Amino acid sequence: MTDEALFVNDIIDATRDGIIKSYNCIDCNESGVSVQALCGNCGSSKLEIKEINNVGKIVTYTIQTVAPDPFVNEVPYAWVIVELDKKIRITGWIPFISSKEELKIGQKVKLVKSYKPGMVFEKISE
Amino acid sequence: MNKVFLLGAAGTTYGKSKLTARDLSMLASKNAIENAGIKPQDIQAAFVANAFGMAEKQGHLGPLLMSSLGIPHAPSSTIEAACCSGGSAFREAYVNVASGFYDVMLITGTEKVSHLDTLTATTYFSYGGDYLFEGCSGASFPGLYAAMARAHMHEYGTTEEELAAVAVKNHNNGIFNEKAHIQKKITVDDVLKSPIVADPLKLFDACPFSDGAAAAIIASEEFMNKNGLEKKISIKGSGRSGGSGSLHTRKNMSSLESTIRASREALRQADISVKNLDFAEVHDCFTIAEIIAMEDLGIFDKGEAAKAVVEGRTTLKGEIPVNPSGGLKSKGHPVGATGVGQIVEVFEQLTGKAGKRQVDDARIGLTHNVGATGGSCAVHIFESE
Repeated sequence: MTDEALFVNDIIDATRDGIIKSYNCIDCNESGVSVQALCGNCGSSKLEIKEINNVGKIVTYTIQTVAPDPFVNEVPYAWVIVELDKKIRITGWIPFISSKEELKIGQKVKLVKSYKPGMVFEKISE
Repeated sequence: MNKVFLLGAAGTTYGKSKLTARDLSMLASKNAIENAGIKPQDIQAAFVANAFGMAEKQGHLGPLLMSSLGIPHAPSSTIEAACCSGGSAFREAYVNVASGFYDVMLITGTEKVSHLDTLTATTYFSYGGDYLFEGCSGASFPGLYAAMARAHMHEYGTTEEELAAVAVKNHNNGIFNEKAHIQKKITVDDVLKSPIVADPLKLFDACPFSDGAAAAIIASEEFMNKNGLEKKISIKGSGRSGGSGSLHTRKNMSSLESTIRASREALRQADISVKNLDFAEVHDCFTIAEIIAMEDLGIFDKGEAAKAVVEGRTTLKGEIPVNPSGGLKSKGHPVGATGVGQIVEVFEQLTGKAGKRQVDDARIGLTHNVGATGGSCAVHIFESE
């Protein structure tokens, strides 16, 4: 199937179940987790939507001690950018992380099914 | 393209104001019209830069502002590009005048946020990024720049002390700006000991939430000649670029592609190199943002800007003064007004009216305005005639 598109709710609904959907361009092989109707690299409409592995490594992070709504009662926690297979990146957060020492760039993490808002990751061992 | 001149520019005091965004825009515009030496009726059209009007239950600010200035017939629209609203509005006005469609335009940026509590303001600011991936998963606006700071520290070994030196330098300049939001000298230690907002960024690494407005008048050469107006400052370059609106989809998190593209466009038009700049007003919403901006503009090599700040090379008396106004950090950050306010600083510097923060022999100045984490960028270059 080509000429598919990735909409906001497709991404939200999947991640809530611990599943990551990405697009892949048939023409240039670019892929990513982002809202897309045309390829982010070449503009092609030949996109296919695929489920990808929900395990990756942290490429950068912050510890949020002041939070926006509706995360006020969750502080402190980590907000992370995670690199998955094929260097595809996604964002998310890890509850109950209170200091930068509890994480490191390169830390292995996994997207989990959660009742909490947003895309929830947890640390996993190497 | 026709030559375009910056005729007048003025800003209100930044900080907590009892006035509304509408009132503030009116004051700044009135003062800009006065120092431009024109009549309000000379203004053919306007752009208003504003991001959070709805927070005051007021959209569609333009016609209200035009009516308050006695020119209700003048068409106006609001331009929103998050923190780059002001620079974007200035660019669009420039395009209109440079193309010959209008002769005189008003650009007014305005914002009012101090009536919001911290949580509401923090939440509104988080709407400027890619909400699905950022705010929706708990990233505050400082959180996004904190993630960029950590990436920059990891890649170049930048330290928290070096970031703090940016805040100290900008506060040193802001002391001389009577319209600055925070006129207070601070030390590196003050910054390091201030509360953590989003590690590694602390409260004093961040600009404040400010109210304020700024306005500028630009005009064509034909209008200047016809009315015998003195050509003091010309707009030599106007660069604009978009960039990924999401942090996770870009390959490099310690650089803003939009800054690189917009600045190269502006420099090419002006036919100068960054070495020719006498000063720059750059978008320092956080200390790390000023470091990244200087590197992307090409003022310093990648990984070298932080050291340059510590060495004092960007102070008022340094080789390239950066943010003589005090920057967003000390002067303040009334979102829609910020980009226009940078141009007010250029106007004051290039007309020799910057008082104790006057840059010696200032002839060429650059403004650099960023929306969110680089989804929008506007760069302008001005030269005194």
